[in-house]
Amino acid sequence: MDNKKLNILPVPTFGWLKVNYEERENENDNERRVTKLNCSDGEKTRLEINESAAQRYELEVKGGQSVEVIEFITAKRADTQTAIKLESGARARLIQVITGTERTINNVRAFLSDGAELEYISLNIGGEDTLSDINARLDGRGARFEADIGYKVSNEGKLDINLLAEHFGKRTETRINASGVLSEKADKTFKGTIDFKNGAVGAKGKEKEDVLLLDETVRNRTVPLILCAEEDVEGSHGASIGRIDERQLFYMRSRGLDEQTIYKLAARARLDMVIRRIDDEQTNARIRQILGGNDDE
Amino acid sequence: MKEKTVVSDIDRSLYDFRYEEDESEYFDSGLSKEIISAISDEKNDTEWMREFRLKALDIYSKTKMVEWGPSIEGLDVDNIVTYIRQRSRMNTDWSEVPDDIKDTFERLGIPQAERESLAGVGAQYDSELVYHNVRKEVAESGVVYTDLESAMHDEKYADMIREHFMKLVPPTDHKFAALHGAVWSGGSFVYVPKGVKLEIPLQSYFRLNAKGAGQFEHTLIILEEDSYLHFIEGCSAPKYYEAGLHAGCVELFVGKNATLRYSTIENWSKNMYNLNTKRAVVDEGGKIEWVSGSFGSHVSYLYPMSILNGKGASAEFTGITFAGEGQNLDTGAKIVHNAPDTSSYINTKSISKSGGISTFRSAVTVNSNAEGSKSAVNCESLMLDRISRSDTVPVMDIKTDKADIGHEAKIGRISDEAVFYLMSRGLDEESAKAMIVRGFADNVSKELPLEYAVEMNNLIGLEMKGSIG
Repeated sequence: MDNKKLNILPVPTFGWLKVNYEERENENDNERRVTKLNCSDGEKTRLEINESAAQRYELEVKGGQSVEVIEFITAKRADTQTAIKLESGARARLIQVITGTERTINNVRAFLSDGAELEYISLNIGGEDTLSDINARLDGRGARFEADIGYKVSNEGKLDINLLAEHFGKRTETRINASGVLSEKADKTFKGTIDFKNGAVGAKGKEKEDVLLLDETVRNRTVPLILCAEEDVEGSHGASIGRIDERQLFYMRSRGLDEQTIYKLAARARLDMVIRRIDDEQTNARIRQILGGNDDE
Repeated sequence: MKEKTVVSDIDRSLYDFRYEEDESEYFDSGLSKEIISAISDEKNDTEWMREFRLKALDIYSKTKMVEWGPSIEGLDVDNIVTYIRQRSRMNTDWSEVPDDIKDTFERLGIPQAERESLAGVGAQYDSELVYHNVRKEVAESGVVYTDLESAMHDEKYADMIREHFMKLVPPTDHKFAALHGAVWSGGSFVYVPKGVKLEIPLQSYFRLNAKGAGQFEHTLIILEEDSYLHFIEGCSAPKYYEAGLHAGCVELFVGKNATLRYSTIENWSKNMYNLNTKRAVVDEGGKIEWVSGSFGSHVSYLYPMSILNGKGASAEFTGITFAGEGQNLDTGAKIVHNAPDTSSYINTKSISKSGGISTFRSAVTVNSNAEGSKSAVNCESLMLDRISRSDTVPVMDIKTDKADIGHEAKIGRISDEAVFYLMSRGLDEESAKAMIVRGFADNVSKELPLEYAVEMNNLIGLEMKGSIG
């Protein structure tokens, strides 16, 4: 079976770091099943993706309408595409929870017209080999993209996320927050790119990642890119990787907590930052159930 | 009507003079076993070096160019002259140096700097050193500062050089490291004995005068335990229409508790491809400090690498890159934390204007044995117009939980608020913007010795012109 390149970094860098792309066997040569999502204004659509088949979901949101889609990806070998087109002033919220999968290839493509808003929330918990490729194209003036990504990778799990926000329109905005926790030979790569194209006057982009490493067997790669071909933009990224700050540890110890408890709390806090944005009781209850078995405080 | 603030290109008149070359001294352009053997004959290479060069040539021909970074399509190595025979032997007295070469270095201010503020100077013109000298008291302290080839033929240093030469940057590292291994010539050798702290800097200046030629100098510095050295490297070339190539190599060995500061002001002309490789390995408690200003060249690939091999070793990289019209400068730093309690700090600024492209590229790797290590990266980019480009491509690869890694980057234009604030304090718009841009570049200039900071400010040549619209 052929290999194909996935999660390609928009601007490649030193080859020895092995972050330019991922290669996987091309398993799904069969035809992709396409589902058009007909969501009404204000509607919430839930998708259970539990079949190991190539799927494609297409969502078009008319001007001024607002929809929410929740994808629970639990298929053993998932290969999912979600294509979103937001007309002027449309709003969408896409929540993806990827859990318990053996291999996931997840692909999200979004096109945002004038004033459109996309909120992307993703939680990666317990997948063995997960590749997520997310591309938001901010074409329209004033379009806005927010991404909150949480992950918990352990037990030799591998997670590679490649997120690209392309700013074409004037006064477009992106905010990316990623936070997570790694343990037990976890191998995670987060590639987040903010790309200001020429003409994206007044665009703003902000990216942040906060990674908690819990033992010496983990590997974390953080690759935050800013590409800029426009003068009048503001872009920034920040990353914090490692253990809990000594001063924080001291403070929490002085409040009577032992180190193990402090790390459990800190790990959960990183996921909770994303979970609390989900704002859907049914989804949150399921996530709590999944997480509860592992690190119930 | 609002007029854009204009920041001029770097004033290169200081560097763009040239003397006609006697082309009969040029070796044939391109690469072949015959040319490499002719270079070995010319330099009276030892047998191991002859073999080394030929093996490197073989590696070069088998190695592909990297799949990232700026295009080097305009560079045809088959048209590059890799060696130019020198007209006179290396001297320790400027009066013995041929007049046109001496005048070149006079105009670049090298002999004056030597008299006023340096412990020793090496001056390379095209392929070979033409001048090398070190102050008597420095030589008496046991410091060796000479050209690499003389040292290689000196039985006192021959084994030491063979032990270290291209061990940090092997020819297999990348295509142009292999090219360097095959055709290298010139460059300096510095040895600082245990406990010797050299208070005033040494400087090597590399001038490529010939048209369509390459410069492939090799700098090898070895610092023993508890020693200190500040080494300054300057580079320039006049402008030609033909592509020129600089594929130098710098290998730095920093001993236990030793500190090496390596400062570079690079101002190659805009026809040059600067594909240079610099690497340092640092022992326990040692420190490498890179100060780097990249202003010239058409295309640059430059990422000094620090390998922190000893417990408590540290690295600091402070750099500024100014990319103007026709330039694609891909610069940054690489750090490998390979021992416990190591620390690193990268602080860079880049400015893009008139269609120039500047890319900050970095890699911070923390290996699993580097428990207790810390690293902070801070990079800022300033876009001065809409036709330029500025990219930031950092990677952090962390393989231990017991590390503390931070990264911050910003990109933007001159802040309207800052201009407004300064104007409210009585500055006109033009002066306010000039002050902000100079302040932006200040982190590097303050790291340089005063006379070089002044030179750098001249190099930047930030002439601000504007009016209130």
